[in-house]
Amino acid sequence: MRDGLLLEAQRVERAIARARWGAAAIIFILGPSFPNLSIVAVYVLGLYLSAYNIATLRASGRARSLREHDRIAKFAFAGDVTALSVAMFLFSSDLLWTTYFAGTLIITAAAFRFGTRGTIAATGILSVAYLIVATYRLVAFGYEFAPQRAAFNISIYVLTGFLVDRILADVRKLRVDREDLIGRLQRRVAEDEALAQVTRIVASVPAAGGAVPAIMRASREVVRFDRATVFVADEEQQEYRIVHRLRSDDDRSPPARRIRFGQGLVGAGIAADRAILVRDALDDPRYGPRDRDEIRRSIITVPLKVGGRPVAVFSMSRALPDPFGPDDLRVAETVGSLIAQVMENERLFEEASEAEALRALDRLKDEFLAAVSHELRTPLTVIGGALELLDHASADLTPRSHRLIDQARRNVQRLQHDVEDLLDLAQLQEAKIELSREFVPPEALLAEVASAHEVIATQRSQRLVVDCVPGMPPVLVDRRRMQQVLGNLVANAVRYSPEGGSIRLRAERAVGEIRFKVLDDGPGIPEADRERVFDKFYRLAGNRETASGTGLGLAIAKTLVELHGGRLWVEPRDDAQGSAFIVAVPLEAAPVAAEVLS
Amino acid sequence: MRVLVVDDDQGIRELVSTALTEEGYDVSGAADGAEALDRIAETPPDVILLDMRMPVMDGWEFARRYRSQPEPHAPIVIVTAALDVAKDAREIGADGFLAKPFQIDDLVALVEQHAGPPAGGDRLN
Repeated sequence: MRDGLLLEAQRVERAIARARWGAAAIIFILGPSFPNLSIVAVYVLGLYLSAYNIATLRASGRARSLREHDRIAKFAFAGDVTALSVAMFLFSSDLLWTTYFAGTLIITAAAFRFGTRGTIAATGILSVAYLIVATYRLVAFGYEFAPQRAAFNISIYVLTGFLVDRILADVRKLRVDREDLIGRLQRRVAEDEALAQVTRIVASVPAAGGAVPAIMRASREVVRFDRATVFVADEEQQEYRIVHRLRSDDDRSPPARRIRFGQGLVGAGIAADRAILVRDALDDPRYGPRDRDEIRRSIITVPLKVGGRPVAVFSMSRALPDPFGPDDLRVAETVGSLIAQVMENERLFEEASEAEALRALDRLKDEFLAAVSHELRTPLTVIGGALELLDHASADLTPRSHRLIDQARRNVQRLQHDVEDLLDLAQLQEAKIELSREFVPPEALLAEVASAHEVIATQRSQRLVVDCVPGMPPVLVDRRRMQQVLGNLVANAVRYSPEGGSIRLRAERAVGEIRFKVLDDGPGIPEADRERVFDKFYRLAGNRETASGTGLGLAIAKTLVELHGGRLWVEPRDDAQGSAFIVAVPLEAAPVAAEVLS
Repeated sequence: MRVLVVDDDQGIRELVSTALTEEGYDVSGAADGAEALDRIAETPPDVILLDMRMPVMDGWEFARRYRSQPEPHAPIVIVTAALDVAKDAREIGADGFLAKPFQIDDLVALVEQHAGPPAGGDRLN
């Protein structure tokens, strides 16, 4: 491009040189026939013109750059103006004094070659030369100096200069506009092509995670940058995390610092509604702490909306001196919106597959539950029922058979109980259990639980003692579920109390709640284990052999109590050795009828 | 008094049959809803013990078809191992329900409640 301009200038110079040869020929051939001051001087002028014309031609041919050529052209032009001024003087004795007409040619040439300034210079010098020579004609030859004629002639110079300059300025402006338009169009087409390519790349990237780096690489076709980064706001760590980064090969800058939340250009970029262009980051107060040897860079940030919120930033940077412009900003916005779209898609995809996995797991669990309930409960019913029927036919059986049947029945019941525990826990975890609440007097609840567990306590020669003042306000509970809770606690107490011990069931009124207590006289629970006994499958150390059951009873009890809005905990008994399991159930305002009943 | 046990599990049919026959009831069985409708066409029962999840024709379909037949209808008692037996019972408008696993005594009591005592009095007493 630059070479082309130089060649063009040299071509123009050669054309002008031909015009000079013409002028020199006129001087040599016609010059002597016109009245002149000195025939020798006329030949000298012709030689001078020829000499600097040759010098100019040679210098122009050797010029290496447009700038150098410009200087040469200016010297040659000064020679032209000088030659014309001298010619005006030499032929001043001519009555018609025609040389001044050549002035308009010089001025026109100046307008073409050197623009407005050249035109003004040529017009000024030639006008002054005209005035001087006109004065000389008056003094030396007595020609009349007519001011209106002088004014007319100078006006011709000025008018020529002005008109040609204006016309050329318009032409130049039109050309610049057209070139600009063509440039913009070319750039637009290139951008569109590149963006289409970017889109194709994005569409062809198989793995979801690879699309953003692909976009960043492809956008290099559209806009030049040293570094492109995608930051994501990490609210937990209170900083911006780099998720994607692309650097040019010669980028030797140190790895990015941690950027604290809400700070730096990244923070400003996320907060902004639109892309930000910073011509020099080091001059921008928003730019974070800077390194001593940091290169001055121009930065563009584009906020990316993911999940409807601006939580990420796409940034591009480029070393100065070559800041980004409005075109780059537009491209960065387009690339940013592509990246945002891809990230949003990735997010939705992830969410969808997570949700899908959870749903599948849920279905599996439901199916498993249904299978367990059906497949285990049905045969257990048959076995249990058959044993029950067998036991009824007592007359046919020996005492040994009775013992064996009893043993089998107890174990069938235990198995049934375990299956129910597992089902309960699974349902509790899915929050599938709904409570059907009613007002129940505490002493009734305790009596029911005690009578239901009389048998297992008696088997271990233990006593169940209900210890409850009548007339306590009723509690709003699911009667069956609360029986299950207290039943689990009593079964637990029976299991861990020594043979021949006693288990106490109490109900006490506290502020805003009723506390049910199950007191055993077992070994007690070390403080470190008091929280963990409510964990699933937890067993106290040393009791693995003796304890039966699934180890789910306390976990189920705690969950059920919490479902009632109450609390369950264990503490050491204050009156004797052993543990106290306490169920606190909040008191609700009982309807009047229930008050009367209690 | 006639009892019809509709259950795809042979063990349950045998157990219920044994228990209720001992009590003096006349018990017949069907492995699914379609078979049950055939049995009913032969000899109308006084109570139907119905499992819900069965192949060929399940309890819901059986109840719908049975109810669409002309009166009289014997009471239906659901005997099933669902997580929420009461819900199943509400869905088909059953007269009673019993969750598996059940006690023989509870079964007998429920049958007596809906069908009345066995014909000719309780043999065991």
